[in-house]
Amino acid sequence: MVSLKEKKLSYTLKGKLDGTFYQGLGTVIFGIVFMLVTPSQVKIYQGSDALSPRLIPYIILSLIVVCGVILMFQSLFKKPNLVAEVQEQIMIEDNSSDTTESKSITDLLIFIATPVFILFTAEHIGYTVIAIISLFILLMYYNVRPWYKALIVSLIVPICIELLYRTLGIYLPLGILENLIY
Amino acid sequence: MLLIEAFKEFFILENIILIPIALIIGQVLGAIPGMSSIMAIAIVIPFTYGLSPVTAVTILMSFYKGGLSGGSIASILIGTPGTAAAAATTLDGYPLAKEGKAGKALEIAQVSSALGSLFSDVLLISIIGLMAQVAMNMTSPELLLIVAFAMLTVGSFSAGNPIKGILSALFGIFVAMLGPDPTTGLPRYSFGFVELEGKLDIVPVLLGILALGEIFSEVYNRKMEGKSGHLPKPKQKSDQHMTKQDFKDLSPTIVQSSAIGAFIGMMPGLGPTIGAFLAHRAAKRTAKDPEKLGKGSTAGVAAAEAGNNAVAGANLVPLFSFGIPGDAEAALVLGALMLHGIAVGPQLFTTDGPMLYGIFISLIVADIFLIFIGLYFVRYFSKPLTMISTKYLYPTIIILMLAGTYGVTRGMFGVGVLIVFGIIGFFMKRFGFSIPAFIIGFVLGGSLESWLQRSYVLVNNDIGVLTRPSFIITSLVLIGVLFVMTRVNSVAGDTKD
Repeated sequence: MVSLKEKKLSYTLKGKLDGTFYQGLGTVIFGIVFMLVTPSQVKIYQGSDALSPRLIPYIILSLIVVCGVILMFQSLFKKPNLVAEVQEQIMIEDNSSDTTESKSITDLLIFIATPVFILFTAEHIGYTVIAIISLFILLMYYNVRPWYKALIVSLIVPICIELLYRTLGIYLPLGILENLIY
Repeated sequence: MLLIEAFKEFFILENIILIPIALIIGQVLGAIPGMSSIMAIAIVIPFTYGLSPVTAVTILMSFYKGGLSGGSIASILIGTPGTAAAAATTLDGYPLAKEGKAGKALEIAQVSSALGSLFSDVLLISIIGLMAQVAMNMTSPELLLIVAFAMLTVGSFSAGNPIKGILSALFGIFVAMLGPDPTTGLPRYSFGFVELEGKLDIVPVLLGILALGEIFSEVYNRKMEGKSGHLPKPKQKSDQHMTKQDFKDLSPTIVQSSAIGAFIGMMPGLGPTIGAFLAHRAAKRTAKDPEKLGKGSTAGVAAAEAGNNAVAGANLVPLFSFGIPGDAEAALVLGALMLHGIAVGPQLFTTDGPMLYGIFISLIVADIFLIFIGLYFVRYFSKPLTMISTKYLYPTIIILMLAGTYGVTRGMFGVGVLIVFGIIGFFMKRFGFSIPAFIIGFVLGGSLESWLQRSYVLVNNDIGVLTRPSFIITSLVLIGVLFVMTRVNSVAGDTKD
């Protein structure tokens, strides 16, 4: 009779091996795609005695493909260090559940979305303004309470950066504030 | 004459003020679990843009030294290493703190850190000239061999799976190839985007892959909380301080550990964590109480801290002599110098001698400051530091990094590159790829390409260059180094287990 925990472990161990396989596969695809686009993306200068500009990219991409294939073979044929992997897996099992996993992903996405949001809005709204808003939202999301504590940090950090940069002669995008200031 | 010029380069008010500030900020960042010394120096790079090269490197190295020694604070007070390099310090530091000897352990850690660092810097200054002379006499095939060796070893030793490490270095080289071809000047892989026709700026790539990727990773692993400990009060006055007798007893351990750390620092890819564990293991020979090692021994703290800090100066040896960064921290120093338009390598001794020796003086001065900070200040700010929650820190750092990148690249494209490489860094870390190998591949990709081209031309004209004594000796030395590194790595692996 296989226990639920053992079942879970064998499932996740299988997943782990597949993970290495897919990393290898992704690497191979990356290498082949770039090899295929190399003729259109790396132009050859006629009449030069030097090495072809495509040679080194081809060498590097070929090595990437070879390493990717080795990773795939490692995943398929290499005997995994079961003891270490089971120990590692038990630690992961103990520390995680579906809820914390989905919370981790949500947190990560929020942390990625914040700089992306700043990237696309800073030139229109102004870096400092958008940084104050983003920082406040992030701190509130991470349960910084009372709210005015989050607000104080959100105001102080971007304003200090703006002032420091102006002293150094670097001007962050002002966005809508440009018309108001100048 | 050179030394006088070097003193002139270094002894400016800016440097004298900034060294202790950078050391303390480095300690603050190093002490916070979840921050790493490398993240600390990555964040500060954009802010060194407007400074002189000596001041820029001084600040970076002070951050690094401060970060490494600050890592011991959390190790001792809460049993959670502030940085990976301080993990060995936890073995003895935390048990000592639980005995009410936190003050003593902190001072020993700080003094050992500073002395380890000083040893390493003196070694750097002593041998760097000789190493540079050797490098100056090398031609492209030998340099190509060394750079390829550095990439392979960093890749193999810094990732769990050597293939993933080598792949990381290859990805780094590939990213370095984006932009104009060195011989024709025509853009490569620009896909019609004007911004991709130039080379990618080093700062957003390094900052993204190292610092932003690390933050994404920590957020994903849910390390967003601070942790504080409740330690017993000291039983006697001597438990709070490092006494003269302690210093006398620990001196042999500090010297031995510093030598081990410095040796590890010169090897590409091994790094401070291995330095600390090896020194800790070796301390059994010099410690007065070897049976207590790992259970609360002052010698264990001294060994681990001297061992990890001695890596900091020595890892500049391959950087300044061959232009090859041995690890990610040295790559960041290289990045800062590149930002100032300085090409690092043996030619620096003739082109920028005063600047280079100015940097060396700054390293020594930083070590002396570190001793004073460790002895007189750390105890006052160490406890609150371990309670700082990263839920304030990470959002603030993101805002700082975005502004820093915009400041250096003067455009939003750089910020985009930072975010993309942050995401790449997260996935590399998650799937066990080597970030130091990627960085070294990226910063050395250009040199590798030009040396490969020159070597091709040389070998094409005369295949005899491959049988020249210098090529054969370099090959043999590298094989010897590889053997030693493999041995050291396996011993360190056993120690960590």
